[in-house]
Amino acid sequence: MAEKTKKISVKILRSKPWEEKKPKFEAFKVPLEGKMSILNVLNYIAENLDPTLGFYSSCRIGKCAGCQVMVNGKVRLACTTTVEGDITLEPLRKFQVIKDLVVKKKGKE
Amino acid sequence: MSRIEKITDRVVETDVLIVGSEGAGSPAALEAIKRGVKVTVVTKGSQIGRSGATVTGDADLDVDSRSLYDRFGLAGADTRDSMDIFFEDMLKGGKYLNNQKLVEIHVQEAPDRLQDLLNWGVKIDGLLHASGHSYPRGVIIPGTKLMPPLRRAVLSTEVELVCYTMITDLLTNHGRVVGAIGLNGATGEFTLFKAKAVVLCTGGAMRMYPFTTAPEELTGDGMVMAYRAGAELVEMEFPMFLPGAFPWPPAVKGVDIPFQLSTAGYIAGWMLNKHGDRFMRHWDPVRFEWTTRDIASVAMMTEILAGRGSPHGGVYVSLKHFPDDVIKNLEKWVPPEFYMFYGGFKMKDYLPDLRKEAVESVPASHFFNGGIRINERCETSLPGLFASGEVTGGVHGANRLSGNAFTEMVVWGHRSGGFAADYARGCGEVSIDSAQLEELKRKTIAPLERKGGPIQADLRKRLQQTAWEKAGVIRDEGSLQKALSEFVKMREEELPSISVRMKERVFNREWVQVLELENMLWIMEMVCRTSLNRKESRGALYRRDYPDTDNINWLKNQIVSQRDGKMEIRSEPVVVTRIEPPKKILKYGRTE
Repeated sequence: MAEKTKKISVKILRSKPWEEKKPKFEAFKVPLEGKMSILNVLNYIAENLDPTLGFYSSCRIGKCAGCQVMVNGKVRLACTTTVEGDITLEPLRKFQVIKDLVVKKKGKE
Repeated sequence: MSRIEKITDRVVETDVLIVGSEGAGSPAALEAIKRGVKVTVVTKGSQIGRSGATVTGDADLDVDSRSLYDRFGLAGADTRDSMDIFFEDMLKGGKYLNNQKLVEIHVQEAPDRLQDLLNWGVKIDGLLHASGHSYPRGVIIPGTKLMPPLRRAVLSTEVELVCYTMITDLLTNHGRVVGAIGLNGATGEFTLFKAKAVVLCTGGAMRMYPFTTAPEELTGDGMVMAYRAGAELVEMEFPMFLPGAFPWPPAVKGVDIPFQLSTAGYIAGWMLNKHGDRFMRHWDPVRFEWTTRDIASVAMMTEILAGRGSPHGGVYVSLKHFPDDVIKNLEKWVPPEFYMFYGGFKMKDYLPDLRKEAVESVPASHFFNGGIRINERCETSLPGLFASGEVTGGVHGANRLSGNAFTEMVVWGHRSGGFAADYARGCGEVSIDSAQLEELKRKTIAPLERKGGPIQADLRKRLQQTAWEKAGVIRDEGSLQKALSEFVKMREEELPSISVRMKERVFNREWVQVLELENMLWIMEMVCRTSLNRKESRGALYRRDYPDTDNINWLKNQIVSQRDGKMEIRSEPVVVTRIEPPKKILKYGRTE
């Protein structure tokens, strides 16, 4: 018998700024199979639980810094931060939120 | 309100539109703006310098060693080298399919472009001698150190930037390219870019394979939008693989196992199959794991396809033949970026105790040798459309030398910006075909308006698995025929009913992924058809039913284009200026 897969709870601050509603936390249960990053968890949710989840990533190896999010209140890269237990994810603070975890980065762009 | 304004949410008018913002797009923009035209750069990424393959490059930039000594006084440069020897090495590496006119320019202009980079504030970290090069030519400039100065240089100009935006199609009118349309993910706007010239700098197509070192954007968008608009593509049968990425765990799937790559010049473990056989003995009994990357990849994939691999779909790499103290001392003499760290990962978190266990390793899709066919002026076969960097084909032939991707993007990025600006200055106003615009918009929005049907993620996984098993590192007639019919069926029968579950347009990932999926299917169809035609093995194409390199019948380039809605492939002799290719049948991996 295979070992029972560990499930973690992932709380994500969801927002749709264009609707002018207050951002709300939503919780998802995600099975951990092997060493997973926060980015793996986000992809799992988007593929299996909620395709409307907004997040951004590019290089997946800790180089482009595109996937920065707040993990349990601290700024982390989603791709190189591994998940051990329950987590709370929020968009970067002090940035304009485009949707959920996606923010408008500061810069001339 | 005009008809065009009714169809689109936003109109951007410019002289030169550059699609892609990184190693090719930035030099293109900087060169174009110097020539007094309006320049707009549009990128799928969140910001310039923060997406695409350039920042992921470890990486070196090739310049002939003689110039490195004469012009840059670089320590370790070898004055016996010359542009001619660099030229010859590129042809040997490309197995003589390279367009020699392009290679001449490539080796000649590389030193000037390195000088540009230094002028923009890029620093050189060192010089390395990678395999395939007769002399040390790899000027070490990691992508993460290349892009910040380039970003600053672009931001200091009047170049207009549009981010989070996927260009979905090119617009043509009377046979010439007049702009492009795209989705702005940040605003949800369906945006029309009206331009006198368009330069594609969108990078390669690696995401069709489940194991890849490439970032998420590289789904072949530029190649396929050019194809749909009528441009020619070349060398599409040569997607390239690196021997040595993690297949598992998920956090590092596709990440290089740095110490394994013998080309990094440090340490090569023994590659073993599940029976413990050091299978390289069948392929290269002299060099074993120190063989070339193409042969190592083919050897690994042979074991994987035969069911002799490791539990997560790779093979084993073992250092256990070394005494414990040798392994323990590795971290003292192997530079940390090749052993302890990779990107933002601490390797120790993912490697087993190498004194006790092997690590699983898999070949990973790394680079796309083929792409849009260009001439010396970066012109495609469509007037008004230019291209540079990995999205193009012709410079590398059937395989690329280590370090030559960076040279390609700066040399050709620069050229494409200059020639596109000159073209834009010399041509009159462009006009948009509103019927075409409306039709393309309808097609782009269709998956958003449908309900039910297959799920994008499921189709993408199936595409990747089929590509991996039947049209990847190892191919043959049977596997390619099966893969081709699967891809055509997916594109013709399943894609038209796929729907996007979120209906809002702002940052709709699934919508973008559906559009990417169509591009990936087209790319794989091209890979299959060109591989089926080429009845030989050469460079990055290994056909197990035709394992030799046939220089009598196959010193040809295959050109893919669309005629009357059908994919047409024709072949042309290789462009030769200086070096006559060998004329006999050779064993795979040999050039003489």
